[in-house]
Amino acid sequence: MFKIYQSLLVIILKDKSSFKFALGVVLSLSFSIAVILSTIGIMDGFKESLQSSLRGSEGDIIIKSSDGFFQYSEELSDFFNSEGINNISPLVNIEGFIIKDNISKGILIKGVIPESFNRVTNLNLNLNNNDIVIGSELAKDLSLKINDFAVLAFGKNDVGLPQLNRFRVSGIVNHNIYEKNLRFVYIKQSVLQEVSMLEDYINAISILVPKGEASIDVFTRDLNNRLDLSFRAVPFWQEFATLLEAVKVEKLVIGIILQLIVVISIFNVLAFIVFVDEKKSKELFLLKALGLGQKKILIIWSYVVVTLWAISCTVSLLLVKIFDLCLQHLSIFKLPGDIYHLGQLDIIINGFDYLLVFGATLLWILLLSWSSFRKIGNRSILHGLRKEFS
Amino acid sequence: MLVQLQNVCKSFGQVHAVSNVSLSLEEEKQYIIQGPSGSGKSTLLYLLAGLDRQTSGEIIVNETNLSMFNDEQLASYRNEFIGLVFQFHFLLSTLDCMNNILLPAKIGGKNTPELRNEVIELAKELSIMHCLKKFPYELSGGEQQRVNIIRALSMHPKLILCDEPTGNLDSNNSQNVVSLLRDLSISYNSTLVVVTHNDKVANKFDNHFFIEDGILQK
Repeated sequence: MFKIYQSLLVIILKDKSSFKFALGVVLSLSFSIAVILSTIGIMDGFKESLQSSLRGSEGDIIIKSSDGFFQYSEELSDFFNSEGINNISPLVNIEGFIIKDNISKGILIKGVIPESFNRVTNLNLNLNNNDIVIGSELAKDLSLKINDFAVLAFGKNDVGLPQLNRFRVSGIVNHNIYEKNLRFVYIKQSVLQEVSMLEDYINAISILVPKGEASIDVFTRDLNNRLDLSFRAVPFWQEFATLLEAVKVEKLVIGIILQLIVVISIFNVLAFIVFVDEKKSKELFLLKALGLGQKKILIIWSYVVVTLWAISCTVSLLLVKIFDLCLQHLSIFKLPGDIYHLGQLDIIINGFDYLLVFGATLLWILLLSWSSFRKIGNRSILHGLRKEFS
Repeated sequence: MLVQLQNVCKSFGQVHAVSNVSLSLEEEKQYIIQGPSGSGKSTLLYLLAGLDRQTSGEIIVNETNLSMFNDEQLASYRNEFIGLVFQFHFLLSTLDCMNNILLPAKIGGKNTPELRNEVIELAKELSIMHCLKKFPYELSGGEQQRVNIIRALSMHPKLILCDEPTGNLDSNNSQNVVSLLRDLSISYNSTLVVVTHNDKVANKFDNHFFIEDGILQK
């Protein structure tokens, strides 16, 4: 069977117009597959970039109390030890204002212990008592540079007025998320507690999941089961959970809609089958006359179609790679900074996505080709021979 | 008896191409079916080849009724039992002559080195050894027809069916091809049926059938 399949391929591909047609079919099909792969790959890439950025600025899990502020007690410390959690960073998050040259902006002031916070996140904060580190967008907005001074307005002081203090900008950080870059200001925790008269109270703890644990999701659920009822642990992506869920749903819906492009390009495959059947009918009728049965012809046509599909899938991988390189190196593909500020996106496609896209394409091809195969097979050999060789 | 036709009819709409034909063909004999153009001789040959099905009647080959065959069995019958030689050589221009000859073997999954050697031997015998690597359009009409004959014989068919095998050749080449067909069918122990309207070709054979308006006369 393989030998006659080879001969048929030679018959088809030695003809210039059939070869060009086959090339066009492969290109259109591979482009369609590449569009689907790239689209779902970008979505996964976006999700991955967003999650990685969030994780880099928050740690794995954030623990908060229903009482608001709480003390980092001996009991809590023992609990973390018993859970094998070594990377812990207590946080104080309060709202305030930053003022520079009579311009003020609402901000989130984060009181951190730089040593532990740097371990839990990817940020490298260098803070002294009189220092603040600000997000890159905020620095741009207020034209602040390192070593410039700005005033922070905290909540009410003991006489009911806002507390104003002047700080030096010791660093500018990029969280890769626009909102955080615009709103976050880091300050030494002890300074914030003193200015806000919080004593040793904190209102959040950021932790890293110990190595060897299955997943952040599972660990968070287990932690919630064992933590005191007044505490609640949430994974780092909780803040953007709705967006991430929307991306997941969008990926599915767009994947389904883009199948349309594949179906349209499969019509090219059908056109190719009809074209070859017409152009090479002499050869096909002769092969039939020499004993090639209907079943074998259907199998050989299926081989031809599957070969086109396999080549298209391979070419589509190449196209996706090219698109990925464009994404990373051409500024035209940069995400608009005022939305996510995730910089350049990667195309991330997992094995299941490949399997799904390639599998669905093959299914469509075989399904749509089948009717054409049937039509081809139903013509009388004698009629064909007489028509073609007369 | 190798082949028996009993009251075979074939109609195309209102046209009766073959009417009530009954004939018997013995093993290892050579036959001529002669008749003018449009008399139904090619249709009769194609019915024998299993390229088409009769409207009524029975065709019994080797004690098997062809009507009982499904499409796959009929294809297998054409591949293994029949050797077809057409008027227009029907060689594929995209394949060289060797691959053209090996087409039936490839279809039947019998493309063995032994068969290839046999083809080479036969090509030597027919003086077309130099043609095997050439493409059909590089050969003369006589050479093309000899390639066609080797292809028909490559599977050692029991029944060789030739449709106007000399129709495209000059008289010298025609005589050669007819003699060749007759000699080869004898050496291959095959039954040969040649359809022609050419008297010179017909005179080379002992067993004659004549067909006119679809009706066969011995």
